[in-house]
Amino acid sequence: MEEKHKYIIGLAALFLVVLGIRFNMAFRYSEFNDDNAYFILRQVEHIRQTGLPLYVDELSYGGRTYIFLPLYHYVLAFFSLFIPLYTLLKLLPNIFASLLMVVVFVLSYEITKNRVASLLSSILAGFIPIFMSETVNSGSSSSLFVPLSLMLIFYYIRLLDHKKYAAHFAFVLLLLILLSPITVVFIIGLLFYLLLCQLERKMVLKREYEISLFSLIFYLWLMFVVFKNTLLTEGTSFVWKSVPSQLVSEYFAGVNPVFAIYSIGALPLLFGIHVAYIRIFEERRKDVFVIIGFLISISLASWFRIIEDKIGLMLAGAILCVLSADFFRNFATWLKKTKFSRHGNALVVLIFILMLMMSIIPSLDLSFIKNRANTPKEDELKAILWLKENTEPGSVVLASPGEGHKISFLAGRKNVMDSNYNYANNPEQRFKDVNTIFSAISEIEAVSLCQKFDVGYIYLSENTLFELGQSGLRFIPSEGDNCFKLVYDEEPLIYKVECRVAMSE
Amino acid sequence: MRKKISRVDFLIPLFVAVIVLSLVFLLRIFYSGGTLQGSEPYYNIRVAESIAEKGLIFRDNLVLSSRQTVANPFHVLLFLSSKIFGIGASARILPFIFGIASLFTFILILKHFSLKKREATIASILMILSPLFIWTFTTTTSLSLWILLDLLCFYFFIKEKRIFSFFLALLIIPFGFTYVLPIVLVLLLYSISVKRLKKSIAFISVVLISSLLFHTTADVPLSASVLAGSNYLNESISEFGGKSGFSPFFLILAISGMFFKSDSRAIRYSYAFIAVFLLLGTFVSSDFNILLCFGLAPLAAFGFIQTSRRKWELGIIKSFVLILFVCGIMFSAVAYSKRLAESKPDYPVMQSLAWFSENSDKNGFVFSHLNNGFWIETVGRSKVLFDPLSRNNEHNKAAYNETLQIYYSRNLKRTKSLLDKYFIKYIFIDRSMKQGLVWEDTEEGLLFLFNNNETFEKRYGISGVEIWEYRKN
Repeated sequence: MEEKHKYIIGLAALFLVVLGIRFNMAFRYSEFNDDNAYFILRQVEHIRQTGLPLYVDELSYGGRTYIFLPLYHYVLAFFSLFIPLYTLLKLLPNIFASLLMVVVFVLSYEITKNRVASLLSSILAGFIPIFMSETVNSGSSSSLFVPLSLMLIFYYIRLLDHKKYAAHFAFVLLLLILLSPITVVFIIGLLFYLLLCQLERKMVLKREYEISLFSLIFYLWLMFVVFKNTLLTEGTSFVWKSVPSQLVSEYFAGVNPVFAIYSIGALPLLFGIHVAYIRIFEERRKDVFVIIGFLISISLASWFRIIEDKIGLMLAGAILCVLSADFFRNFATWLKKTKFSRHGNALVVLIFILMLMMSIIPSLDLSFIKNRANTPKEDELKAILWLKENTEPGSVVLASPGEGHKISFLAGRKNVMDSNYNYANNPEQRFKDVNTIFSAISEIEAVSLCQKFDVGYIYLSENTLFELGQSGLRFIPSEGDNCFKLVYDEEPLIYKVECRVAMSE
Repeated sequence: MRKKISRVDFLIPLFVAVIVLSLVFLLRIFYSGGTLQGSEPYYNIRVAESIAEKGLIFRDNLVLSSRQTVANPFHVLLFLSSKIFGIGASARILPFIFGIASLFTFILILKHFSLKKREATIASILMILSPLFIWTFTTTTSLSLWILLDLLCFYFFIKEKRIFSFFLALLIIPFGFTYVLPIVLVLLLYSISVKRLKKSIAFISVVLISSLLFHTTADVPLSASVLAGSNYLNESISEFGGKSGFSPFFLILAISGMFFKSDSRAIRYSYAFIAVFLLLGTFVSSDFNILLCFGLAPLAAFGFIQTSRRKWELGIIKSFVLILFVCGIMFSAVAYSKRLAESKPDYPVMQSLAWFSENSDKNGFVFSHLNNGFWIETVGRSKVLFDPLSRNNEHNKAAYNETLQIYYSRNLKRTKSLLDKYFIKYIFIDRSMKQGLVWEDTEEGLLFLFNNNETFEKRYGISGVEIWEYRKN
């Protein structure tokens, strides 16, 4: 058998192992561990029925318009013709996410021309803790976005040698732009790469300027066409997703080093940063500059809160895995020159043990934690089903924003707030009001705010109480009549709002 | 052989300008019944109409804490023109004429700097398709005359006809001291670039001193900016919701033009020109962007021509890029024109105010969002608590913050005390106020109190516009 075929078989085997692990974790639970999965389900169902995304959403925020890029949803809708939707949303994202290993292998080989090093880096890529935990049971589009991003980098590097790859690059860019606006990070990355080349007096090919200009113009044009109305109403604050300031720390916590190590994995972080340092300050290679340019862009985008921390970490993790291949290759070369070369096999075993401890186990651990904490349990499903069967269609249900999509999809009822903050009318004030209702002491205050949003029912889950640090609604008196009738008395509780505020003289 | 600009070369830009400016006018008729778009036109009309009885400098009593108002040359021309064509037609014709004249002057300036025919034509067309140009010359704004005077002043200055240039600079002074700064800075930069600073410094100094003298003796605010934006970036890019602004593709072309011509001395001075205007825009007003736009248009033209002329390695990418630039510029122009055509005020608002002007008691103030102020003053012929210029008045802040409670309080007694305190007789509500500008809910604050028939009577309610009378007793 040819040498390279062994590695292909090895890669395929690893792919299947990772895929198997992912499927195991995803199908362990019947539901999803991310509220956004339910938004995706609603969109896919709507596309199947009408052919178009649900931009005018009657259930979200009591009714509003929400514009987004629908490529991912269309892909899911297509495959849902053959596979049941719930199963598909557990199957396809995990297949996409597992393909990251293949892309990392290909990209690593492009840079190092060393199959062993590339294979090792692809193992690391298969077990990036934050990538696994965020994509294993959430249906997230990041499962497709991250591998495609690395494909974009791959085609750019190929473009340096052969101009025929311009078409491939343009096609992958188109897919990325239609997937998510955060593609801008890669456009900025190209600019950083060109800047690095200028600073290091590396010759930049004409086609590199051309493709960079094309990427910028194409991205801008498409964004202005799709998000025309959002930009008009929200201006530049659209870039920061209109996340209420009270939640900014959840989305943009600022990356703390310990969290970064645990999320990316210590090995890719250390190896990748080491290679980046060597390539910038010592052996300056253009193809690695491309990757470093993107890494700088992702870091800055996270710093300036243009992208969420977790997305920044996923992308950075994938890129650092690619850089790690260079480390492995250099390490192997160094090893051959030293007396440790006699212990080559032992060192390989050691590396695997380190991978196990610092990447594989943290990946599984984070994934289990997220699954256990966030996947709706039986009693929650039962309560939401009760809402569906016992409340009028068109009723507004107050729940915490992290449960809004779930309520809308599973119960088919309007929510007061969910995690799609863009386009919402004054999300900051709305979030404040929602919190005020849950934490109010005065019944009048609660009734008044419920009336503001036309709330018919309050869904009070354990998660909501945990976030608020409360044991229940404080404005409910222990005895006597009140405006909030307990209509579902198993956990989570459901209250019906029965009063309205009258005018005062 | 270099082709010089001839008379014929004005025709293409003129044709494009007429089409573009007329299109907005026609769209406005279709979408909004032909009402003048924006707030400022109504203010300008009222100032022009007041010249006959009150003169050029008067106190405007139609607003809380009456303010000193100075009619600028635009108001004077509007007043004079209205004697012949009527105020409505004049308000539409004058900006159009100033736009064509500005375009003509711009091309003459480009001719003086020996721009090639193709570059000048493309620069003119890019200029015409810019949202800034479209807004300035389809809206009844003083800026339309201000920019024409600036361009003429600059043209005569570079032609060494200082007398005409000085006279035009004096005409700019009544627009406001801050509106003199841009032309002064442009003349200064030009003089430095052609090494004639010593000859020009006296001219520039006299203009500046005259302006300062005028504004201190006439006791007018240093800046007459009617619609001050709060975020320069949002105001300067039309796609970000600013009142006008640049197209991002125009800016990219201008940057690429600077890049391609980076070895030229003129380009180095253009960096200073841009920096000055960015500073002015950030700290004073984004109104000056229109002048910056005239300055950037030739650079954008260079950028486009060089992009198309250069031999690209990736031929198909070149085609895509050029198509995207053209589509982007066109998209900005078309989208902006439509937005302008659909902008407030719409026909129901004007109709309601016309009814109000004939069916209301002129004692007492009308309470409404300050954005509606100029419309109520001009069309409704009534006093308002606040209008867009109230933002410039620090004394109004306390009153403004206090009256916000009228919108949101559900306490009838409290609301009535505030209505009495500010002598409010009517409350004007349009659709946008109920759709998030003020309220988000139909039963919020004052909307809830309207259920009290003894205190509030609905005098008008058509097409989402409501006028309520407050019955004090």
